[in-house]
Amino acid sequence: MKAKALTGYALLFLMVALVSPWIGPGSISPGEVASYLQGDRQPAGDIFWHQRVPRVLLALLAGGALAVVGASFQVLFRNPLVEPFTLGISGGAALGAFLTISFPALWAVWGPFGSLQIFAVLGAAAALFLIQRLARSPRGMSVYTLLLAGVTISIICAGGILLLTYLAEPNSLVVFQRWMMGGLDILGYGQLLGILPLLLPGLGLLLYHARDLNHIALSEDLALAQGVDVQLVRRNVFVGGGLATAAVVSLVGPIGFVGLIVPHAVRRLSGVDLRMVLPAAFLLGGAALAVCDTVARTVLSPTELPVGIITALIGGPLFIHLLISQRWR
Amino acid sequence: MIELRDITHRFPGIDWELSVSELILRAGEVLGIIGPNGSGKTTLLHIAAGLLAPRSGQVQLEGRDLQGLNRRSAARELGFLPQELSSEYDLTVEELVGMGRYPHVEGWGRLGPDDRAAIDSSLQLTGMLLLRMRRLSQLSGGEKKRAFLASVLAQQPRFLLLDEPAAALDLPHQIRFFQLLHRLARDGMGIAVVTHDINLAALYSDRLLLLSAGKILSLGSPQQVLTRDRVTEVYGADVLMGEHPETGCPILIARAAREDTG
Repeated sequence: MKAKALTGYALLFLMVALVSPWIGPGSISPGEVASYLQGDRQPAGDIFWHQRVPRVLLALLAGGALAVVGASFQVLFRNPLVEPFTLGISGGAALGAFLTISFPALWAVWGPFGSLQIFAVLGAAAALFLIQRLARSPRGMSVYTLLLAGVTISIICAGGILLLTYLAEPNSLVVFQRWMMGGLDILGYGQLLGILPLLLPGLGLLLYHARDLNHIALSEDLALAQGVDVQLVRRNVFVGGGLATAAVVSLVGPIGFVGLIVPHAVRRLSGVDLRMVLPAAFLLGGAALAVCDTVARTVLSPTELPVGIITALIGGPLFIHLLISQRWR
Repeated sequence: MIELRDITHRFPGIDWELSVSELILRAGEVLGIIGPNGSGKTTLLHIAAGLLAPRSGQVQLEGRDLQGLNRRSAARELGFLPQELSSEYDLTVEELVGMGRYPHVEGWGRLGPDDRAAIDSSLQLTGMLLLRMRRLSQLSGGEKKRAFLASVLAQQPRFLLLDEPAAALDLPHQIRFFQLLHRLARDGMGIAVVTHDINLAALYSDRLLLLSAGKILSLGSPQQVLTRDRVTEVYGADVLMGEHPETGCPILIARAAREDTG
């Protein structure tokens, strides 16, 4: 039964992956795409292989990762409103990004990464580290303190951003604002591959603990008594989710709603078992973000909309619909 | 057996401490743990289950130090049913019971024939076979408790610790619950149950432990523990004593309303 349900998600994911690259301003024919691979460097083929395909792949990966982190965090924190960005990790990333934008002295390039991305990762990592330190106590990590610390860090980062905004030049404001809206426009595969060293271990940790998380969601005392190392699982899930979020945010900015809504949709469709929910959330989240990005590319063609606007404008109403049409899970 | 030796534990803001010099739970017995609210019953149970490390003292499970034992291997021998059980996480009964196989199944949790047999037999024992496909949100309070008990039984523990398992149940369900515990003990399981229902505890326990302000006030057969003086001392003058019509086992009952007391 479970395998069959996952197949459905996988088919949707594959379909979106195969179709999206063909959609966008300016038509591209299969012939041009194929001949590009045979060495015929026409612009259409170049756009397809070096802009569209990496962009769709990034959307699939980022959307999937955000949904997996959201699904795990909602269980870890016993709170259906938590998303990957609730905990100040994206706040830290945004502060790091804005710092770079405001102080050109920080500009640097390291491999495929610009300093904006590097500082976003550093900001996110700093936030992650700080939150974890704050939540540590002799009796172990309390999820309540963790959540509170995360929200507080988030507010402090927002305060820092306001301060920078107040002091910043108009030019850097425009750049920063664009970053905050989220965007999936990358060129080539370097940056995409570059986030994998953070993203894959993060997601791996979450999947590895899916079964343990089921137990913790049910009852922490019962989980302990049935042999689950609750403290270890909590820490790993928090750090794993944090790493994955940092990797995604540093490259695409804080794209909201995917990490909040997709987990709810999956639980509604397929039950609460995280061994099912996490893979399904990856597939559905990836497909959802790729579709939103395709809309963002085409709806105002030839101009592009930032994808964050689309996810919020499509996701918001969808979420309200979920809210009024069903009981919380 | 489970042995507690020289256990002490303090609570923030409370001027007494839990202190138990020796307590042994043997295989094949039901030990009822009773006492007023806030006398340390749940804490004692948590310490015995290894969920809480006492400030001092030792808990041994079959001669091995429980705190030093790997959680999984402890869980294969020791089951614990907590008092608070949420059902927000809307699993089916069968999924819930399957989760009890956690200490026996590594990795992703794929269940084999042994696991299926254990699940079936605990569903059978708790009378939940016909409800196995139901979701927790579709169960009554009594069915929910039994479903969670089935999950703990699927661990196939030799010792079972329960915290107020029958608190939310009506009388027939309480009776059935305690009869089940009685039967499990006859089959060799060692069971300790914390409960406020002194009458059921007295009726179904081999031994009673009366806890008051963190100390063992009395430990022995229900007749030995529930003496008139002790009951008045612990529960006050408004609790009267009688005898069970069948067994003569002591029962406690509230004094009738009186005009002269506020």
